[in-house]
Amino acid sequence: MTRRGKGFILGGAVLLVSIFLPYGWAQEEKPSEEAQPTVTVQTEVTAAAVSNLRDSAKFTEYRAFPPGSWGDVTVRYRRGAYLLEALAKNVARDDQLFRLTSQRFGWFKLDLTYDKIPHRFAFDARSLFAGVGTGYLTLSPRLQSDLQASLSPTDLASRVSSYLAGAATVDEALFRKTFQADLKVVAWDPFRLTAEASREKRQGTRPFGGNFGFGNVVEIPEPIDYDTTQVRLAAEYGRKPFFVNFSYAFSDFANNIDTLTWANPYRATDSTSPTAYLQSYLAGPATGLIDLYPNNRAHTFSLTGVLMDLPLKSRLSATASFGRLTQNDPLVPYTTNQAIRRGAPSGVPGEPVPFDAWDRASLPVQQADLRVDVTQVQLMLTSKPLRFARLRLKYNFYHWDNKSEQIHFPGYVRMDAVWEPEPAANVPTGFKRQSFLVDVGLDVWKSTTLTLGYRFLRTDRVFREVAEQDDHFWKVALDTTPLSWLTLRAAYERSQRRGEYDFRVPFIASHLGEEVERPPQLPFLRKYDQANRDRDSVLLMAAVSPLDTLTLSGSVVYGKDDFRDSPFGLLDDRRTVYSVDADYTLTERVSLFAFYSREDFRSRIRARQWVPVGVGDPYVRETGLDSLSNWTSDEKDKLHSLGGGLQAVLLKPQKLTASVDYTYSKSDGAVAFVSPVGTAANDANPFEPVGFEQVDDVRFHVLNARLRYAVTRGLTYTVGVLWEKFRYDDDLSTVGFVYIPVTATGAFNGATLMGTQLRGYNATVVYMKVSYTF
Amino acid sequence: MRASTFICIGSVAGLLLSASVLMAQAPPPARGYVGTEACRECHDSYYRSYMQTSHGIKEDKRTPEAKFGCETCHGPGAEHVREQGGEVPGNGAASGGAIQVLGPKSKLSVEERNAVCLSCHETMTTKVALWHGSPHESRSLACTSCHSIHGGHPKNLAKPTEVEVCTTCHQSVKAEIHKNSHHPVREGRMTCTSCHNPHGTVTDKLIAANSINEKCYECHMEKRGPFLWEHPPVTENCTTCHTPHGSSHPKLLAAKTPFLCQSCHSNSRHPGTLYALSPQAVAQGLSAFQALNNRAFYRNCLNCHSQIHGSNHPSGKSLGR
Repeated sequence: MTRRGKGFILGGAVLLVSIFLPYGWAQEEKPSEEAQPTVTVQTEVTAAAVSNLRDSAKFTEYRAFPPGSWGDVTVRYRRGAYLLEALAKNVARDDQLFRLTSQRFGWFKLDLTYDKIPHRFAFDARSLFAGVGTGYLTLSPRLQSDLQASLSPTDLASRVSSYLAGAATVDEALFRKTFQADLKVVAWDPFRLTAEASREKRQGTRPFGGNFGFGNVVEIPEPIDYDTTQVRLAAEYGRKPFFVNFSYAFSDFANNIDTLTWANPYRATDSTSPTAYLQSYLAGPATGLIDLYPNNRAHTFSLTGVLMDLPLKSRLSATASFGRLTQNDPLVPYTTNQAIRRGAPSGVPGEPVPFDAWDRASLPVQQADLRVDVTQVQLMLTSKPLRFARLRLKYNFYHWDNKSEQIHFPGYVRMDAVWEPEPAANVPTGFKRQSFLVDVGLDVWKSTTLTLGYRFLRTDRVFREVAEQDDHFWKVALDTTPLSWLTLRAAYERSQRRGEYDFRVPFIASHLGEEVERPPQLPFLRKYDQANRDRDSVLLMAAVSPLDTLTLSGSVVYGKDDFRDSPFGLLDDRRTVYSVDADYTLTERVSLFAFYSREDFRSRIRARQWVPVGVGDPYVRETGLDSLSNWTSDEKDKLHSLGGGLQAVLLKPQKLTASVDYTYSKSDGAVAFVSPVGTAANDANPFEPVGFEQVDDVRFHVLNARLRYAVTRGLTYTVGVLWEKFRYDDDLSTVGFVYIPVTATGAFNGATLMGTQLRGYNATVVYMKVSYTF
Repeated sequence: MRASTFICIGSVAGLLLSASVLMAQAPPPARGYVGTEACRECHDSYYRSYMQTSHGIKEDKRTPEAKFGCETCHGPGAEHVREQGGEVPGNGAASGGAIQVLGPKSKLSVEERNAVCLSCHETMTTKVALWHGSPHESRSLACTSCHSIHGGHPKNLAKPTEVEVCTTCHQSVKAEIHKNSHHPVREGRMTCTSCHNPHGTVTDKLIAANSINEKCYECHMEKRGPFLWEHPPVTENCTTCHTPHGSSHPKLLAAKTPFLCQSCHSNSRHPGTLYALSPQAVAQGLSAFQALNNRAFYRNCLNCHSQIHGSNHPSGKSLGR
């Protein structure tokens, strides 16, 4: 080796030793006791008895109370900087959760989770169908033939009622089972990496409405079998004055049951009816076909950057993201009804069906091929130019750019019953929102800030009634803590929305740019999400802590929307919420809490009942705003919620503790109507309408009481009781409910129902729990 | 350049680098700092609660415990110890300033209190990166309004659960989550931060996504579409029809159907129909199931228009297939 080579080696060795020696020496500086591993195990076993569990699926809507026992276990292993934790909660229940965490502090954290969440809709729903949970709901041909042979609507009601009385019952529920892995790497701080992946399986059935004509609604169980895969990768750098985050998110939704074919109870053979208004057994299809939610996919790239420590205590943040949503499911045929074939009569006399509507080859395209690009950009500048003043400027741009092509359909099949030769194209709506905000915060007094703000929002739409819409928002807010025990907040916001409304736009778009004479929509109606609107909202809040042990707070929220330029549609909307809350630590052993809230909602709509070229027609017969066929509804909801509880240490220190809490919610809804009364010749609804007094009325009690005894530091016994009483009344869905509704004269009233409406319950859970930690 | 020169430069560079590493490893001689043990003499319960949190993990070099312990956040303690009549150990001979109380009774301004937390957290995660200019920051909310390192609660919250913290100010939401139709918040399967990031986001209402709809689609991705036949208000904003915190109406709807639907649809024939009972029907004791039709009772519009979020069926333009 030459002298130069030896020199390089020596220099390199000095360099390496001088770098790693101090690092390695620093690594030796660990207190010896922290390197000792510790293991902690917490176990909990609960045994419970439950009464009236199956009165209503509402009681276990998102949870499980299996009679018997279940357990929770947490095992924690810690050695120095390393932690391994395994958690199992509600083991063997429908709402169980498992999590494994492996973490090296300052290096990485890995979480692996399995989570199961139920969502129950109904118990013991009656179903005539076989194949519940699949994409094919079938009936026995004998049943269909028998019902098709009905002699009258009254006879039909009698026949189907007897079948339904002997029908099987099904529980309708779905379960989400999610596997998730989250990894965060901070070892190279300020560079950090995140990777998240999840796979969710959702399975079950859900109440769903099927129909075969205006006189034939059949409630069916929608099969749910979804797989969703989501992945998110992110890299970020954070060290003053910079913060940058780049992420990519992928989401794939797959529906394993694309379509639902279900049998028509009232038809064994396909037929086509001219109008689909005929009685169910007289005409219509033998089966129906619904295209369930299509598979879709989304990719999103996002970049966020923050530049801090600029002059005048300023900082600049910017976010940009781009996403693409796609859906390319194969299209199903227009219908499964074999009677709707070339030459068959259609809904328009003299215009027969042009092709075999049940043949996919008759479709103009075979795949959906739809795409939306989503772009968002935000820029925000915050600054404190003066000691007492803060400034915020923000610009936001969001674009839902629907790139889908319009597909021209020569017509459609109404309810699988009849071909309607009405050409129409799909309408790929899109929108763009741009907003600009300026906010000034002034410290006007000690611990008091006055905020003044203005925001302008421009919305541009494609293929909707309001192509260009401007919203102006003005805000003033006062936040003050004049005393250490008193906080007051008040805020008022006023907004105004304005835009030119052209109700014909969606119809013209649907007809590929051609004008439509007399669109079926009431021309005076304004859809409230686009209509001109004046909005006022007020918030008042006070929190008082006169003692360290006592906190009282209260708030009032008031909101009002006025749609002054809407002759029809939503006219106005009011909301007032009053709330009070109290927390009091009575003694070092006893603490109490209580709350009360009252909410009042009111909304009014105006509409018109009319038939084309008939009574109430706004184009021909009644072209003004006034008509005897007009009607107004006034919907009110009043809600009260109150609750309270106490926690008491009966034996110190934490040896014997008791807790009780109770909540009560009451909701009363009502709808009143006003409509002038004429005759059948000049009034499409010639009667004095009577309102509904019970609209989603609820009475809900929850009482929770527990007594906990600590035998030792690690061993505790708990006994408890949970009592819930839920009552639901609704004039439209529960009052007078029957599986086969009939008219006053006993005739079939157009519906075959499973009985999945909300039901009340009165359930009690008594449980005992043993917890042991070692 | 000669090899020996390279060696010299390399060695000097290495020594300088070593020195900087050594200097970085060892705590600097801090003026006014008394050390955590001094704090523990009077505030042991606070110390213990702090050590239960991620802030107390010494092995993570980003944490207060890896720096000056309690004094990382509360400031040098020499003056405080002296005021309390205690002996100031070690290098506390010179004063470093008053101790900083950071809780609700702090005499510091909100901005000063927040600066303590943000000195680390502002650049540690995207979650807090947009705090400045966020609604909570603009309304002078302190970090310690919601968080407490010494509280002993998950996520260092000031109260045992997120819902209790958030509903301290957002009281109307407390009633909403107890309503008939609700997300599984009171069952503990979701929480406020399932949808919101209270520290600041690009979206209104502190929604932790690029838009309200994109947040909803994270769990309800079957409604993302795009669909062949769209229901335009669905695409623009889920809250046109739904109230996500809770509703007395089924499916989190903002109003009762069919009246919700009739707010926008007064088309000819059945959409604009007045679905009400007549006095004669009431006098006869008829229910809606007897006196009205399937467009009014049970699920009313949704009895037939079941694909309300959009349809992919060629015959589905009325969202009934």
